[in-house]
Amino acid sequence: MSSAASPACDCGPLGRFVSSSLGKKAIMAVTGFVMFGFVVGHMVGNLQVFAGDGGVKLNAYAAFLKNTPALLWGTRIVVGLSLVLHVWAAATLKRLSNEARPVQYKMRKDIQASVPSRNMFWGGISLLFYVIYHLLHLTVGVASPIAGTFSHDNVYGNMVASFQNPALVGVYVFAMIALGMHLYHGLYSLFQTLGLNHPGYMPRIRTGAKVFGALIALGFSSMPVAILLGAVK
Amino acid sequence: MRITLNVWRQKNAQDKGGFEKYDAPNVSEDMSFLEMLDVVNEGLISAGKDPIAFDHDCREGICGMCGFMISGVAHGPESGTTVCQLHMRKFKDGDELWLEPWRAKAFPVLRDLTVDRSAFDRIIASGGFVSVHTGSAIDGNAIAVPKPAADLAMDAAACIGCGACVAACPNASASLFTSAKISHLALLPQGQPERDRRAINMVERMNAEGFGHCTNIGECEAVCPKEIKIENIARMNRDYICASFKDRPAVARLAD
Repeated sequence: MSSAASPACDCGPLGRFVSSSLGKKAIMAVTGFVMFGFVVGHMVGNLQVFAGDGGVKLNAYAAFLKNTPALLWGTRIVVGLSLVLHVWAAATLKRLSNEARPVQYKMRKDIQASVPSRNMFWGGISLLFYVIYHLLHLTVGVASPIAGTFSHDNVYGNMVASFQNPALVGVYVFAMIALGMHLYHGLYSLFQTLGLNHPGYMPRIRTGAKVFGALIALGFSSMPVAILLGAVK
Repeated sequence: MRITLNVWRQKNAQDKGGFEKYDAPNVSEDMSFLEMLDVVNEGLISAGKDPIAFDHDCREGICGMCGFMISGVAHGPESGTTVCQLHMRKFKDGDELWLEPWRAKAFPVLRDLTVDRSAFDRIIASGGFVSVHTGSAIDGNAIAVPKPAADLAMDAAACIGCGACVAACPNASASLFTSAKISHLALLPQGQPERDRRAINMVERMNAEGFGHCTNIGECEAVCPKEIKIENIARMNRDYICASFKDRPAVARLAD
């Protein structure tokens, strides 16, 4: 195809890849998967709140992370970078998408698209605000309702003190439902985006995405709800 | 049966346009949707008004010329069907329908329900072909094509380029069209020599035309009159990502 080859930019193969919509989608898929991996680890670690030992195990786990800076900061850097790239790609693609249809339909019906798949952008925006609050609340410790009493060495105590507040539990559960839905479409979608599609596997991948999305939402929600109900104190 | 139509009327590309209401009182259920519009247009012409402009050609569902939104669904409510093959028996007496042109920056409205789909032609021109040296035809069985590959290629090649995928996509993405055109050549031996370059060039052309990105929601597949599968989009993604690593500039360009 000697005729074509008019490059989109004079920026080398990487620049061309990143400037294309498919390249940005691939970045979203990979960074999304990295963050999914983090979320699984984060949930499994925190489920130690159910150990029934008044928080000894959970606080020891937190201290272990704190005393292993390579692991802690390595994770923070990789996940933080993934988040930045994910949000950047989403914002850039959303702008392209808005520009691609300047005149809206008076009527447009979705025939089969799932609710999560149609709300990835706004769901993602909600999750971004949630993550900011969550970091201020339980990592930095400057957000209400425990801004004054927050202790860097007592993860368990911070959680138990916070989740006596039903409104806060509501916010966390709502955010985890949003996360579960985001993961359902995201986990399925990343296979499609990276071209890892096979008619024999796709139904299983879709089911798997549903199961993982639900497990993450339930697993995380179980902690504030159990504390609110007094099952964990 | 009686149908009420709200039709997008727009004199030309510059006109702002708007909906107008038309009454179709004597619709036979055996009419195709376009025949129903023909009757409405006959009435408009005899009343001295401009007929509703819409694209059409073969009226057999195989050419890809026709297509518009019927109450929010590309090509109307019947799946796997172009609007010319949609019959009025799929509607009920007294239905009120909204007819709108495909809406995308890359598909500017020319008049009423007619849009300019030249962007698709330019995507094809950027790589949707195989380069063949002219000369005597080679033996028909010289290149072995596995039957499953031939079938998949044929399924992808069924795309008639009507634009319904773009119209139905919330992002006005042309991924289903472009991927079908990349796939039907990528699946065949004849398409291999130019496979990487084709994927890169056609994807870049698709982006340059101002189509949106794919969010894998599958609305395109649901409205496609030829039932092209989004598996093709995954193949395009795979080919594009692989090509980004495999492709090398031509020797002549290296020498520059």
